[in-house]
Amino acid sequence: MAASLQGQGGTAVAGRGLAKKAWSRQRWTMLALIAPAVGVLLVWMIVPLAMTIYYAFHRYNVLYPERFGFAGFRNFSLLLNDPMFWGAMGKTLILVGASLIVTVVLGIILALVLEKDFPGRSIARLMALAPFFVMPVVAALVWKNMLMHPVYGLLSWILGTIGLPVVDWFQNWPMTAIVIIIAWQWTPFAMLVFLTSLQSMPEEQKEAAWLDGANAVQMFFKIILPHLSRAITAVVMIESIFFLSIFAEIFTTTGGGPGQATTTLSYIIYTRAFLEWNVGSASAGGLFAVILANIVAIFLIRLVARNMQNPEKFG
Amino acid sequence: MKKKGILLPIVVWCVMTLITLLPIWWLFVVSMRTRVQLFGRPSLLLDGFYWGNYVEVLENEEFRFYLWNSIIVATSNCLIVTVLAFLATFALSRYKLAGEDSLFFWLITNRMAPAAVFLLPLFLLYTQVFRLGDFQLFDTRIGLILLYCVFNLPFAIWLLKGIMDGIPKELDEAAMIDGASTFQVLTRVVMPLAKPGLAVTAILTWMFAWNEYLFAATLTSVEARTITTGLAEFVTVTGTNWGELAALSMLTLAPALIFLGFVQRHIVAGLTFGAVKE
Repeated sequence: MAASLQGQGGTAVAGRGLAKKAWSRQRWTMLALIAPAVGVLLVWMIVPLAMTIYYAFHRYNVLYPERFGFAGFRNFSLLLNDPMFWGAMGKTLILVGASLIVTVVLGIILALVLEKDFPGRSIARLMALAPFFVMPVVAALVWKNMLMHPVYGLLSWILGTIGLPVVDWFQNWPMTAIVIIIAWQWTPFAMLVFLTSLQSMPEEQKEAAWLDGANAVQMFFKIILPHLSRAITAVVMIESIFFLSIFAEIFTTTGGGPGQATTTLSYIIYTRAFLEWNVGSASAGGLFAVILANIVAIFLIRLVARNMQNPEKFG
Repeated sequence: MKKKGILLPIVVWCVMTLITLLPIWWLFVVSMRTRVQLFGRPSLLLDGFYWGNYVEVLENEEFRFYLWNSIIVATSNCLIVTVLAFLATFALSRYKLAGEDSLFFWLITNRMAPAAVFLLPLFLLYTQVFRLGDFQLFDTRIGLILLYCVFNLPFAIWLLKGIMDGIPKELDEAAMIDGASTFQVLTRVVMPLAKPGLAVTAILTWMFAWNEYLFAATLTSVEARTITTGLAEFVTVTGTNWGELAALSMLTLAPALIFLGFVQRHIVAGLTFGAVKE
């Protein structure tokens, strides 16, 4: 794509008379248009990042500013030897992984069932997307206090009515409860993307497969899943951006507990920074988070870029 | 899978909509109840319209102030981000820039780093570095507005890039040859064509700023408190009046649901950055 743009620009300019002058004027215009956006990002993103790197190598606690000094890799080694940190790393991966699997699998199943057109579909679509726009804080508060509350909650009332034992979700199943909240917010989104992708699938392709005697399972794995792969990567990418930094849902429901059961990387950085005021340790943790995000990003973006370059293959 | 009747999809839709809307409906029911009714037997049905909770919340000066702060922060942020992203993506899609791909990659990567990473440095910057005399960015609306740009700009650029690439280059070249300035090309030619994309971008950035919690909670204290933090504090501060909490939550939901109606048609293409087209 990039190469073709350059080619077009090149021939257009060479074709005309006042080639060079116009080109350099355009270049300045272009730079002027990009500058504000890049400037804002530079100040508000690169400066904090540089500070994080700087403090990661220093001993600094806001409560004891006099004990400031260069610490080498001490913050890192302390963190790497801290079982809490590895626990948080694991919890982050579990939370992100479980939420991704639940939303994508449920999304695909729902999209397959709902592919067919039926009366009132556009209104139903709109309503299904509503949870996506609910404030995370509100979602967490509603689920915790009005739905999953062991005494006043709707779920416990329903369970009690059917005769099942009442569950104290955030005490006994804290991670599951948080994944449920996230799935409630994000499954409709995933479903909608898959549905849109399924609708762009050529009908002849499916008919040809049926005529060739494919059964439903073969159909799904050989035809539908490859067709959906672009949509799946897009959903996974967007969701992991948001899932990696989930905070409000945890903060308002469990506060990282009970014990360390729901302390994720985001949460541990927050507690190190704003409860212990340990800038050095929080920064070192932050750097690990950035590295983790980079690994995920490189992996995912390669995948998406590859898919986007062969649109005819995935449609 | 063909012509199997429409009963199954309708049933599944109903069940799914029930699950997705049940918590919101429950919130609405609770917001419509008096204190006495709240301690009664839980019921999914509306006992009647009681607006007392809404009146109570809106008469509370503190909450009005929080709501006002949220409106100002989200709206200004949305305007700044949309304009900056519009200018930048126009340039990015029209001219080849050295290192454009790495710039893009860098934008996405940074959006992926957990927000908590940026929190502490920004807290230190806002309280200790970015200050003029007595003025500091901590606990100001402008501080939050600028901060949200960092999280919304990469997203907006990403989203608009695909839309800008889809607008034929020949149109603005033709306008240029007719003697239009870059500004005229942007406002008269490109903007009308990019309208749906711009609308989705604006509404989503507005939503993210409106819903943001972590930064609003840590980088403000009194003057710039937003409604998200107000809501989170509500539970502990007042001994929790669930009716009022539900009413306030419904109020924060309203703009989101209204906007959702506007962009419904474009939202899938928008949210997947054009990777999935309708």
